[in-house]
Amino acid sequence: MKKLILYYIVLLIFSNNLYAFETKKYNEIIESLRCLVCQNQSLAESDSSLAKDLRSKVKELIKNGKSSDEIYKFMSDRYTDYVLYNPPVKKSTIFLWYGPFIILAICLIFLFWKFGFKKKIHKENIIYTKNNNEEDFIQENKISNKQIILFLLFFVPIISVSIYLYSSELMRYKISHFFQSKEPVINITIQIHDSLLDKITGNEILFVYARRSSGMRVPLAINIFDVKKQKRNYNVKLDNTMYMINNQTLSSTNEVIIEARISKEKKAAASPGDYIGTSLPIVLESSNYVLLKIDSIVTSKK
Amino acid sequence: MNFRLPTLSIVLFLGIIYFLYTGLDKDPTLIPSPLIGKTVPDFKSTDLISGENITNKELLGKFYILNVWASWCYGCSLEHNHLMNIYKNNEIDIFGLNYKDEKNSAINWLKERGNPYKNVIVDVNGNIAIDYGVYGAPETFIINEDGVIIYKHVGPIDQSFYNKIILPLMKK
Repeated sequence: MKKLILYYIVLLIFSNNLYAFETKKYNEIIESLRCLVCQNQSLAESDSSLAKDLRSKVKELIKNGKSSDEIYKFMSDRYTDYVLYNPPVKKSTIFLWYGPFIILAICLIFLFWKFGFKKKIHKENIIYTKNNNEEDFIQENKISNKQIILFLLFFVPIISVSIYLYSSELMRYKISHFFQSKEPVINITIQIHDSLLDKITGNEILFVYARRSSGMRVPLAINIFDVKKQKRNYNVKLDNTMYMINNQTLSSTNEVIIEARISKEKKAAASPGDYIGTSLPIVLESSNYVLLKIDSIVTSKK
Repeated sequence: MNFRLPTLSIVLFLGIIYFLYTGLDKDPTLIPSPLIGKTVPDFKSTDLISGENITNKELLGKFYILNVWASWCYGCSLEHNHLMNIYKNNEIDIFGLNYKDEKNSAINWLKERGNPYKNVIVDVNGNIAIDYGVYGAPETFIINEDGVIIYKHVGPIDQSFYNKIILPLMKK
């Protein structure tokens, strides 16, 4: 009897550990895979149906005894390296990984060479031209290149580091979480459907606004743009400063619907023939990313 | 040297600005398919209407379009007329992949709008679609006689898709 109990305890501990290990692996994998629909979220965070499917696929693959690398390969075979937050080192990504360091190294070598060289000349000149003020002055003037070098010394590393951070999506994501402000900001990428794009003459106006998902339809934030011919994507930001009525800002609600409308008559109210795209209700966080497609035509007056 | 250095740094700076600026207009949602140039993944499923078994082997040897659709998908309603036009031209077979849909609403959809598909492959849980690298309906694949995927289009297709992409590929 004792043996049996011991056996069960061992089994319990063992199976629990195995389970914990698998869960850790599962969490690690879905944290480092990108949700393809929402893009600024990992598979772990996204609620989209594709993310759910892919999560259960990952679970299934783990249960079948596949290693993490095999699962990443499974995903990138189907969805390209883009699905991976940590892209592998390859021909096409080598600049992404090492580019900034290469630039930095080149700059440092250049600077050392330049500095060392100049200093030597300067010292020699001090001895050599002690009695010749004029020549000394010319040399001093040449060294005012230092300003440019200092400029490079600070500027180039900053640029390369920022490119590096920018290109590493995961970093970008983490930074954006770190600097979250409390006021909601909605970043919207608007896409005009191809069939509508050809009809745009360039005389239209694009209204982008957020309204409550229920209740009053008054825009809480609105932004207006001139439409350009053949321009497919617009990046738009909506925040608390873009209100129409006092106290009716994005902060006054927690769920909004985003609409983008291309108006030929340049009117604030929708009229037939306008092109429109409407989002699903969005629960506001401090920073939001929305992809909105303008793909339908207003047929009747609302 | 004294003249070159500032010029060089400005050129470098402008180059970087240009590089970042061109990135702004790129569409981040368009993901190129790694499956182009590869044979279609294996699948086993049933036909939506007849209920018969269907596998990728039965589609071999034909030049065809595979259209991923669902009755809940708004973009699919936009492209349906264009699919019907292609069907009426009768030059290329269209196969449908019914993506995460209910059987009855899918059949009703085809009754209401017409059925351009030679066969509709049922994919209830989206597993086949994952193998095809589908990330949202509608998506359209062009597959040649060897069963190799030669083109992928994401989003609704229109008439120009037939004229500009399918026809030139067929003539090759």
